[in-house]
Amino acid sequence: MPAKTLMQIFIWPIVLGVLTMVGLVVTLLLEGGVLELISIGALGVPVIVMVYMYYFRDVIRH
Amino acid sequence: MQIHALKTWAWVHKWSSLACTAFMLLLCLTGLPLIFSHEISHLLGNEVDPPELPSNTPLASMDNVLANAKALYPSRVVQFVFRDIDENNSWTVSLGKTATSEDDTKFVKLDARTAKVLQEPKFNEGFMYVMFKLHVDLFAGLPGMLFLGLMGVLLVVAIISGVVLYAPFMRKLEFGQIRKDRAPKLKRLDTHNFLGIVTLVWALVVGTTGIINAWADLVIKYWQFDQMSAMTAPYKGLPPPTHYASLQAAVDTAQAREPNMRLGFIAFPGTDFSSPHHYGMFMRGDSPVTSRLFKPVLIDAQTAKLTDSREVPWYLATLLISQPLHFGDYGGMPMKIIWLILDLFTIVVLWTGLVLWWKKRAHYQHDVQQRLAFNEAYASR
Repeated sequence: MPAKTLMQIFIWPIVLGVLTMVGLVVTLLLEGGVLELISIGALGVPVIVMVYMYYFRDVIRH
Repeated sequence: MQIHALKTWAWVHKWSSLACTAFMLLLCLTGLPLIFSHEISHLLGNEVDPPELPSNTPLASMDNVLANAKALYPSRVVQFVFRDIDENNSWTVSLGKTATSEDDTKFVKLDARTAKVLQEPKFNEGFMYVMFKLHVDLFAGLPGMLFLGLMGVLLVVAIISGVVLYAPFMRKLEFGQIRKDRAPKLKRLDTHNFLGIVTLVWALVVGTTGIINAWADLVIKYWQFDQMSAMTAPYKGLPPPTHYASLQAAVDTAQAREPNMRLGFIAFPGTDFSSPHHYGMFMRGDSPVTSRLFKPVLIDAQTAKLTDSREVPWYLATLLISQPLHFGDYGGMPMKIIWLILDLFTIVVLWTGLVLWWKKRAHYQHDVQQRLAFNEAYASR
């Protein structure tokens, strides 16, 4: 595998970081309703990615 | 990155992490039950809910609520009357030996509609109390809080240096690649890097809001010096009141001043959140943000008339807004579960980091360049 550029290394961490930040802040500003569920969902994406990558990715690939 | 800079970052990451890891593990472990403190208190029977009554049941007079609490401890001084953010039907009264004493405080929870005593919660003993104290100040008061705040600063340094080191270690690896079939240390390193980078923003937010919270006592002291003393200046030097006005009348005055806010808690005369001459009525809004920003309304304790009311200054607002971001208590059960999982993953990051350092001590590669070469030698699957 050729060496990756900084952008290639950090693109996914940045995407997940932005989702986390949006989830943390927007949920604080919203009051109930569908939008709040979506913002909590944004916070849940990194969690789902972690669990998937760590436990299930290899299983599915194999 | 230049090799010299890399070596410096590796040194910073190693020592900032090592210095705080034991305390961070303690904070993560004690934080786990605190996320669910409300639920655990219910399970342990430490919190009794008020009974179901028709929703149009009128509220009891605050004077009756107060009298029934005081009847249980006639020799005690009432310090605060408070309730949870989402609680409408009960009040908890705290009674101390003096207005400012902190040891052996008694708590009485009463029904806000019937003024009947519901229970005497034991907030200052038991499992949750031990978890809380270990998490907040290690049973060491203000020095303990500030020490944990300093550990939080080291955590932030460790996270930032960790991000810098993430790049060279990931040059030849896919995002999320965990080399499970290689040496255990590679799996450990990949786990540390992957979970660390994904929990990064959350850990930074919880870490920095924790640092802010460590200053809570000092921030409140400064607010008393800065704002409270100015608001109560006309009363300076006056003898303490000989009789007190009706508490309900004082509550009504505060409510009339802030009709769109609801009462969060009452600080009684002589406590740190009032003056010897005042009831401090702390009003909260009803949006998720304004419900955290208490607005103090000072009511003359003898006449039940308004003395002053001011918006909270920026430093207190910062503290109050940082609290939900640290506690994760503003998004219901889904958010609590996310907090739990992220906390558990943070424990894994701390633990793998510690083990990586421990196992490497015997054949430690002091040269970071060599460590990178080893890492990349096993990069391909």
